[in-house]
Amino acid sequence: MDFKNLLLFVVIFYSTTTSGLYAQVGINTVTPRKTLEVGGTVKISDSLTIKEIHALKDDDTSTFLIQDNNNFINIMDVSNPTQAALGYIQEYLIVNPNLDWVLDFDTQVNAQQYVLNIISANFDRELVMNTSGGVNSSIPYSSAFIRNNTWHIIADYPVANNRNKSEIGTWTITTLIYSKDLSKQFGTVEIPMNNNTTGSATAPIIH
Amino acid sequence: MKIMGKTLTSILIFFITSNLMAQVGIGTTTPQDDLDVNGQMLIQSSLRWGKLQTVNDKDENFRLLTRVTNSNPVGEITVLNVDSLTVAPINVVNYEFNNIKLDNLTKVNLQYDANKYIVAISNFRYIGDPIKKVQAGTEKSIGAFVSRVYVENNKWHLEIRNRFLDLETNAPNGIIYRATLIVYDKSYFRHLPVIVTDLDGRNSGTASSIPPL
Amino acid sequence: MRKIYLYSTIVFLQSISLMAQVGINNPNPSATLDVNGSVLVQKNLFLENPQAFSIIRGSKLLIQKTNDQIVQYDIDKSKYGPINYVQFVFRNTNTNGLQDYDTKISANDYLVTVQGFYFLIAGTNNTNVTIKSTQHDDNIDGFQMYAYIHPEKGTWHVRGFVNNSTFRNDNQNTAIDLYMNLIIYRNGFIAKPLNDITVNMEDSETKTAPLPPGF
Repeated sequence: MDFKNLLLFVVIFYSTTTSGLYAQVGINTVTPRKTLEVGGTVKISDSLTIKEIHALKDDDTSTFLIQDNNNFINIMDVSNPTQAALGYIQEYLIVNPNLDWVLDFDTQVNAQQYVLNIISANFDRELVMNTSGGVNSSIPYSSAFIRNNTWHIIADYPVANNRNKSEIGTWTITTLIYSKDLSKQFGTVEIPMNNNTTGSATAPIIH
Repeated sequence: MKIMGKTLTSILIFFITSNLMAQVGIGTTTPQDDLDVNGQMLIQSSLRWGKLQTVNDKDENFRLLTRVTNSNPVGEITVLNVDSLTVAPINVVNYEFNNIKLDNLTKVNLQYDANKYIVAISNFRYIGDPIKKVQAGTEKSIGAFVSRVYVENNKWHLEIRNRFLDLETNAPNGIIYRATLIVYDKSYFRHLPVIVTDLDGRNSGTASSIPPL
Repeated sequence: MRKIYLYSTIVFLQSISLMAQVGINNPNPSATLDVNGSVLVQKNLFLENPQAFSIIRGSKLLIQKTNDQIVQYDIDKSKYGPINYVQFVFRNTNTNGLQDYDTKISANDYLVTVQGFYFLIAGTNNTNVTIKSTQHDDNIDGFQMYAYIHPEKGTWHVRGFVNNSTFRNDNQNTAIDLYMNLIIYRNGFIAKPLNDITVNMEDSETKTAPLPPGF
């Protein structure tokens, strides 16, 4: 017998008794629960085609699946506190800025690895205008922006000041920080408006 | 043959010396692949699967693969299809608030459970009459216009108003607010502790700590 | 674990447990089932206890394409992410603000939101921009910074202005550079739009808003 080209495989046939029982095969298991149950690990060199992949239902609890650098299929359990998360909720309290003015607050969050996005921001003091004879007013703005590879925050009622200068004000800024698995960055897009109020892109930045 | 439980299997194992019969079928006599399982397959431990290809920039409408943890048996491979879910991981809802008392949405209970969801505010629109400034010594007070979402009693709330000034009661048109609220499934996010930073009266600075990402 | 070679024999199920490793097209299996080739599962697959990975750097999420093929989701190579971020800088926008801008982004495929904005005096880093009403000096006007779907064009438009007001540099109208953060969700990937909700405040300062179904 030539053992060189030895191939070992198993051919399984349906075997029905008089009562028509269904047959299942186990490898390394004596109680297979499915058509094929492998009581251990599986390695597949080429493709794996799964004909039935159902959609998640409302009451399912689930994890995502990932493939690592060794080709193992693993689960990515976003609710496991010791694992990396898909995203984070981070609230910042910026206390005692220059009255209500936060020009550049560096969160030090890496802008290449994450997208930081403000989901709510507010300041807690009354504002006054004291320039231009008081004919002007102001609106609150806040935004995250990238500088020197980290995420910064700007928040202000421009030109306005705390009515009571001795009061210490606080900006409460809630952010979501998305990991690279969840977010794609398209950078900064310059749109020249040429002193107009309207405009139109020639092509969308995302198709 | 011994009958074990409900399964009855007979197995024939052949010895071959060449690649003549290279395909194996389970539950089928005409395997279409190197291993063809005509039914369901269960792997108890790890799956190592020859390096997969990657998505390209022409692909669209693909779905994330998921693994169910409360299936029987555990671990059914499924896909995330938002059309099959009443609540998606991210839900986008346009809100309008009308018949507002002056300018004051002082406290609107959005009812989203803060243990399950995160709410973000976007696309803000203040449609309607302006609020009048009030003299404050030699200065003019503009009050403080605020629009924010926050958690109270484990529910998300919304506040939109000028906190110190009110719309005139005889304002001709009144105000309508519109906003797009984004409701995120909180289970995808980790809640980090608040970072408090005192800027000491300056307009710029660095956060007192970096979030543990 | 031993590999066992068997001659043509009828073997009962019990003895399968002796064969700790099975190879298909593979004389040296290194797993319980080691297939040198392709596998087809006609129904569904269960992974009972795969490893949970504590570091995901270098790992990729898995997706199923419309042709049913399972591939890695490399977000850098993909046309879009679940969440997409872009900062639009509208340079030299008229003092009356950004009244309308067509991004040409498909309203079918994406959900666009403005989540963050600020403005500077055009061409500068100067934040000293104020607002002045065109109607009355005492007016504090409301603002609108938002994206909306243009009904006929089916594309997302963006607007950013203060009602009935201009942007000012001290005593003069000024053009501004308007910076807007757009967070764009791919429609149908992990995000979906729900029905609009209108809340009638009934002349009250507080109210409980209705919840969408299922929440």
